[in-house]
Amino acid sequence: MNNSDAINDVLSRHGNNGTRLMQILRETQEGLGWLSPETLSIIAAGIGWPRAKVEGTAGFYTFFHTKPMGKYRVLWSDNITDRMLGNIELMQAMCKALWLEPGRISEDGLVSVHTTSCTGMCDQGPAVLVNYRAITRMTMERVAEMVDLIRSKTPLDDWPAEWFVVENNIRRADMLLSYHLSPGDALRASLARGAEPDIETASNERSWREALHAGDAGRAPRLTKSSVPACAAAAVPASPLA
Amino acid sequence: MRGRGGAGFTTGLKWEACRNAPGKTRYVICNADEGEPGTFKDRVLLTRQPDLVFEGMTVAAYVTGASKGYVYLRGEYRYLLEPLNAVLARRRQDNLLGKGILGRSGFDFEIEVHMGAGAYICGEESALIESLEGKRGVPRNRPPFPVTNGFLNQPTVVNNVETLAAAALIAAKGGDWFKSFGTAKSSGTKILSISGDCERPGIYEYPFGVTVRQVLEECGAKATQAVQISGPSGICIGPDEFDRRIAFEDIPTAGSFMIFDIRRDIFEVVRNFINFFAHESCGFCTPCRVGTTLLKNMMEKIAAGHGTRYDLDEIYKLNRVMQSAAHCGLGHTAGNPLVHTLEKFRPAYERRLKSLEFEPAFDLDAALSQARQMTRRDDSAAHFDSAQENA
Repeated sequence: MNNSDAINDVLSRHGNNGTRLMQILRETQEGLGWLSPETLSIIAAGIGWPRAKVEGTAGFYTFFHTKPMGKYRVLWSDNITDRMLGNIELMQAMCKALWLEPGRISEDGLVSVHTTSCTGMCDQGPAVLVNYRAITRMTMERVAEMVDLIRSKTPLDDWPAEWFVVENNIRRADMLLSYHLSPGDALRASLARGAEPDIETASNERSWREALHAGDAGRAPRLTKSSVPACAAAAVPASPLA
Repeated sequence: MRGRGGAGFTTGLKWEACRNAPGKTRYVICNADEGEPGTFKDRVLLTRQPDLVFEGMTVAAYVTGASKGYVYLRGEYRYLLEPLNAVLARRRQDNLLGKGILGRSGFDFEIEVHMGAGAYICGEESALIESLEGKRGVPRNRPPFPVTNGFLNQPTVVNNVETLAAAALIAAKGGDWFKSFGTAKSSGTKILSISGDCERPGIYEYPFGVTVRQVLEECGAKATQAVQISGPSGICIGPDEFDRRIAFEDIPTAGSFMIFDIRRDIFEVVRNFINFFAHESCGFCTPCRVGTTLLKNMMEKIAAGHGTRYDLDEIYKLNRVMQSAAHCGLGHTAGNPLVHTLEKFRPAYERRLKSLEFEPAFDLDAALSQARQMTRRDDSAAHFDSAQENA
């Protein structure tokens, strides 16, 4: 299958719908490695958007690349907590072993190494993303092994599985993390009760309400049991604010 | 209940406003773009309690009359996409999603996971919606708010992952049960993501009202110098404030809790945060795009030993401009780590300053090196000695 078939596949999976552009770009990139100018043109034509708008989206997000970034893209999480665990030294060691500078792609087009914003693995860092898959608890040994795996062009699926383990590290659980509901319990309870949101007064309530419709219609009425339709989707009442 | 995403809006009001707003289709969006450095609670909730989160979304759909839901999952959590889709498929099979949910005809709701692609700003709800529509993640002007004009210009509720999970529990157990946890104005619990200098980093769920000191003790933090609460855009507190409480009444938080002991240099901590904001500024408005970069340059100047009192004053000025003129919360809060630590940890800055009133950001003597090379001179008269010059 050539590239344009692969792209058209993605496009038709998303119904050539422009509002799904983020997913179209991601899935295309996962297949082809990067978003070339030709790729963007095909996508723009496919969803019927101006090409500049498609390129605008592709260029905005750091995880989309409009230049080739190598078969392996290694991104080191660069939060202060990763720094405290020595991520910079590890990244420098990796760059040295691979003969490259951070942010630059290697001469043979195989690999690039750079930093990225916090990846949300602060309790098990230093963390990296390799081709956007999370790897935790990096050490000098892992850096050395990873360099070998990259040089030997080993597919990510064949890398040690324990590298990709993300721990929950739940140290103290209360209602949200320990409460066990069977799927559907909450839903059955609210269907039985009739949905009525629990309203607690917040300090920001006033300004927020006034901003809603310039405050000209006053407060929106509170939900009462009688005002909630038995089947909400079918019978949404006309808005008193309209 | 108030929202768990940081801003603390009253969830019930949001739902009510969405339900009352005129529109063809209503949407429920779960904000799982957890980009605030030091936060990872949503990752754990979506791993441990995905059903609770989806159930919260479905309850929200029932209350607001929404027919479609999206989970906006940050690109860094790509590995969660397949497991979450599997849970959604099971719920569809169990008639907890799809048409006529639980046999209630007309109660139709579908949920889809949308992957982000590495943009912190998309955690801001209107930027998130822009991104969901396939556009650049630039925050919209507000009002109108998403509850009236959200996704595809339709009434939309955007709630944090934790908020929706709590909403499902309230639906199952009732509001009175929920209110029995926490404090008078902050019902329920808060999940803290704890990292940094402590023996047991990880996830800690506490009823609202817990003191910072108790949290530090239980995670095994010793000789703590400072805690950054709610991420770089939140607040930084020192030991004299450790008796303050985690609650909307005192210290509100989105959940990030980073600990720094006495070995750490607070200046380097703040420098990391400022670099983060400069990198993540979306570039749409000038006060933020330029302001965050100026702050970054200022930090580099101070780090290089060229800072003066003048630069500290400039930081305050810049912060005022950004707070009053930036387009969204990123620019409003980007100066927070600097301003907080300049008040509480001023020595971390002052010991780096030169005592001069003003100092250029570049090294005058180094600038002459090319000229020296060309003239092949290296005698003392060919060097710019600032001490001598000032004498």
